Amino acid sequence: MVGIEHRMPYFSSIDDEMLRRSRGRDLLGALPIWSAFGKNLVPYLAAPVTDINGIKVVLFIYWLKDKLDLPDDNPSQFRSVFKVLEGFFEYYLHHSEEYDCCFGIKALEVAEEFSVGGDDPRIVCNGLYQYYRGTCRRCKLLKDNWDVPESVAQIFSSPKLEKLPKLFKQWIGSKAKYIPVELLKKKDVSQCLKSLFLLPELDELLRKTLLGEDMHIKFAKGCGEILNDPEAEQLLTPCAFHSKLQENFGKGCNPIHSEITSKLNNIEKCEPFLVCVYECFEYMHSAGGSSIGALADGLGDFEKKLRNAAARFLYFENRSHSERSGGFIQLAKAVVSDDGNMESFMHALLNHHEVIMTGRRKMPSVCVESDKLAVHSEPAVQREVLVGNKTPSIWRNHYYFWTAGTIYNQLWR
Amino acid sequence: MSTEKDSKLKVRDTFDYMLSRFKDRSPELTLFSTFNFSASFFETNILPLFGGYSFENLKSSEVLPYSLNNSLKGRKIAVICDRSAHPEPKGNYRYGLLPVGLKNGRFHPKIMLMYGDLISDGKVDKKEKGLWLSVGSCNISFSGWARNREVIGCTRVVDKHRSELEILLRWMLKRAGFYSKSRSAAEEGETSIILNDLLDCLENNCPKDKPDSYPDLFLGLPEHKGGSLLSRMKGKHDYDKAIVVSPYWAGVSCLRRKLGARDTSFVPSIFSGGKHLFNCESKDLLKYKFLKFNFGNNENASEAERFTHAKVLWLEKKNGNYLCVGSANFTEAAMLGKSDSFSNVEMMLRYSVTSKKWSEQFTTLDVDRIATNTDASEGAPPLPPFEAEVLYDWDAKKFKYLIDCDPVFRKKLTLLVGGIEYKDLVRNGSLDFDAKKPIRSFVIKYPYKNTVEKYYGLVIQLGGDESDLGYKKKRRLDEMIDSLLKIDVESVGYDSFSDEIGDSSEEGHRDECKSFNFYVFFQAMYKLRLSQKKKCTAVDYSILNELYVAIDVEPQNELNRINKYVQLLELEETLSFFDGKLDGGDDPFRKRDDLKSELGKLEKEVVELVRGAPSLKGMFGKIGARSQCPKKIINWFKAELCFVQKDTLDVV
Repeated sequence: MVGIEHRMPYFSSIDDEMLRRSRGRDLLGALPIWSAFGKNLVPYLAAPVTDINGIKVVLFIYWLKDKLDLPDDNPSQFRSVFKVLEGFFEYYLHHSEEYDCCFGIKALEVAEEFSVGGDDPRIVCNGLYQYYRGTCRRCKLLKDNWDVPESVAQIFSSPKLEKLPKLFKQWIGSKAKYIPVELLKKKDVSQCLKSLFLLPELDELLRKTLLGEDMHIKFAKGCGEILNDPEAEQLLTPCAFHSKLQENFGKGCNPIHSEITSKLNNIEKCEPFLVCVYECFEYMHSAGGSSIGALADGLGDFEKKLRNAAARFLYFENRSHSERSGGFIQLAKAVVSDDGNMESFMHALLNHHEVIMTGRRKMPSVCVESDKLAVHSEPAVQREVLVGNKTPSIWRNHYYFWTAGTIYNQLWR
Repeated sequence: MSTEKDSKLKVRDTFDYMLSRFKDRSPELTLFSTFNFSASFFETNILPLFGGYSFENLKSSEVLPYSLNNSLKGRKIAVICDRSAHPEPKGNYRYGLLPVGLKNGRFHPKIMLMYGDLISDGKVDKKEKGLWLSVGSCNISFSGWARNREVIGCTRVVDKHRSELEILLRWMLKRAGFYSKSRSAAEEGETSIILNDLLDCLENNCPKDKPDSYPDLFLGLPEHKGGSLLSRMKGKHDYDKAIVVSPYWAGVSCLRRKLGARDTSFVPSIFSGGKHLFNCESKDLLKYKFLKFNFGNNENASEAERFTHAKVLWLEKKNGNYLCVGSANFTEAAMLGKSDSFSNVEMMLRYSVTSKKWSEQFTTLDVDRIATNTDASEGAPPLPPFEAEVLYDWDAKKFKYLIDCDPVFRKKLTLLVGGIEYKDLVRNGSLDFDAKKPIRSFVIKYPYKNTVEKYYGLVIQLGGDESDLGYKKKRRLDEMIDSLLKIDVESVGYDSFSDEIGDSSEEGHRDECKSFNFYVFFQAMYKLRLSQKKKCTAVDYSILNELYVAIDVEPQNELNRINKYVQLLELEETLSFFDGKLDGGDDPFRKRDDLKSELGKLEKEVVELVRGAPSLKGMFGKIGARSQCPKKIINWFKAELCFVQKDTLDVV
């Protein structure tokens, strides 16, 4: 034993970096409903896909898989390698002058010496795997078994990249920690990586596949134009964005534009109700310990807004047959029925939440115990900015406009 | 203590420092104790640090639950908390949580105890294993670790600390007795094993040299043979001066007398309303001398108003001073602890200090800034008039409970667990319950002063596997079928069915339309059997266990019951195929009994559905529908199913 090993006591300071508690995502399961309409316009892109470089990284890592000679009988080894490479590429993108990372900006900025590991649970090493690769497979840039198709393999076989597989193979071993900057210091690495993100053939392939058919590309173009409009700032509320799209595509009698307008109209019938339902849920979520009766009494003008939105949503009653939208149709019916009241609607909403969470094999975030709300996760917003307040409703599931527009602008810059 | 250099130290700095004492920052065993326990705080901020996160990226990175559980494999972490303080049920994370209680007192110590390979001077000393201990006032909660002014100190565990720690660990183990005795398998997190292992580690890993260089450790326990916590901390010395920092007070005049210092000052904490709260009659305030923290002329308002939860006893004497820190408030329950009165379990560290600088950080507090009360409850919930423990045995599919109190009173209790109310409770009982997910809390309603009170308790899980306990994502049936359909039957086994961690959230792209599609299921099972047939090594039952769970948890309605029946029949068929390749040993299919009984139940339902089907009535008339005909149809279907599947495989 060396020296004396103890620490003198101290009075503790406030710790601002501590987090209260985590919360779940999409606690009412409305995402698939919006998604059903959104997919008509943006068929392949998942919501978090906002950077084509992330797509390129995913494709490259899958292509690299064969070059690294990983044993076929150990899928978890490839998963570890994927994490390390993902962390490496995020580091490269973040520190390059031209690009931004896709995930983990805080982790990349905070670290004095950024390192990654094969069992790294951080988003910086998992985000692309989790959020981007599904998009690649849906648009057939990856095969169903996650292999790269010939069209992609050919592009990565470019002489400009020929040194990369060898360099990565030398770097990847069985270390607990990998330090990206060490590999980047090696001769040729930076040059090869620069080429990787500037392959014109790859950009061309992405332009052909990532967004979908002509109609989808036209829609994405429309979104991209709004995003590029210097006057667009005031249009950047989802509702205004949607109206602007309706206005732009409603001009003239172009059949593709009419198709887009019709699909946009469905969104307009769906979204306001989902927004109201979420607002009401968050209202309860932020009111642990309260009784539902007391909360229902405090809803004020919200009931009128909810009824109007529910009536419009019921347009889908016989047009949509998925289980999830069926649940929301029932909620809408509960609102517009003659004997419907806010208290019974709120109970129905909590039941709906429980069904969703049970389906996910999770505990409900909000439930009723002896007439009082018990809350088991952090609410998204504080109570005062929710129902009853005059602030305009925020569309929650609007990201397709931005995703499609952003990706379009990157592909056709 | 609390020098300028230290003034920005947070609670987690001690935790971080302790981790840094171990090789790879990975202690083999870690035990936390706390009075209040916020599971969500622990799981968001502390647990991830054992799974590869660092403090720096804790805030910037989203914790992915299944990934974290994967990283926590092999770690032994347990939390012991007080059962009366409404501890928050734990989430589905890989650690143990044991609520403990006293019939007439609180479990109050806030310690962290870690054991593992130590490092010295930054280098790994492979030969040395050891323990580190922190003792403080901070509960595992957002307030305790991030907001309050708490006190904490830490030390390597040396021989002189051993006896007190052994007493505490044995006391905890005794409380875990109900779970140990009842169990057919380990409880979640293996808390009893961790406690036992720590006891073993104490025996051989506590150095004896230079004992005076380490702080002394004192355990307050009602039945402690050494006497009260106060008398042992004080020792046989006479003190010129004492300063007491505490948020809660009770029996102060008695305690001051027992302390016996010539000049004793009190530092009461500021509560909402801006007043410092002290426990005495208003008229007696002038009998005491009060201090407050001195933040200088440029007093920082938020610092001055920050709640002090620290418990410190400063004892000044001519030949050196003592600084005692830890969990004990200046109350009789904490300091005097007798077995026949309300007494707590507490833990304190006593440092020998030559300088008097610590005592200089206070300034006089005017009496008009003090509010008084005579309530000694410390704001904690009332102790229940019974002892209650509930566990869920996953193998037996039962809740097992122990409710210790007067039998007449017990008749008035109602137990709510798993959404069901149970009355007519006995002392040791069990309740059949087929849990689909961990049920982590229970409520006991009991009469109290003309009203009904509720006691909230935690359910301990026994024998659940990773999937039962939610450590591993339960795969959806459609996902599993998709994966099975992709099996390349030309290759050996189903390696392409990779074990993804499964934190994916691309729900927006899930196909929402459910179809009544037996073909794909049969096709998937066929491919599974084929892949196993080609395999030279032992068959892997884990996928059958997972499939059973996936089928079992699909939402239930009439159509799905038929679906489930057909799928389970097919699963049973595949199971017999697997069994044919089994070479003895334990049964690797855990759900065999469940499968059998579920099929029995479903078959009865399906027979009745067939009996009520209009097409059957049309074909065989009402009499036919009432006869054995429906049963015969089902038997025919089962026979066909077995025949077709076997036949197909043989052809291949």
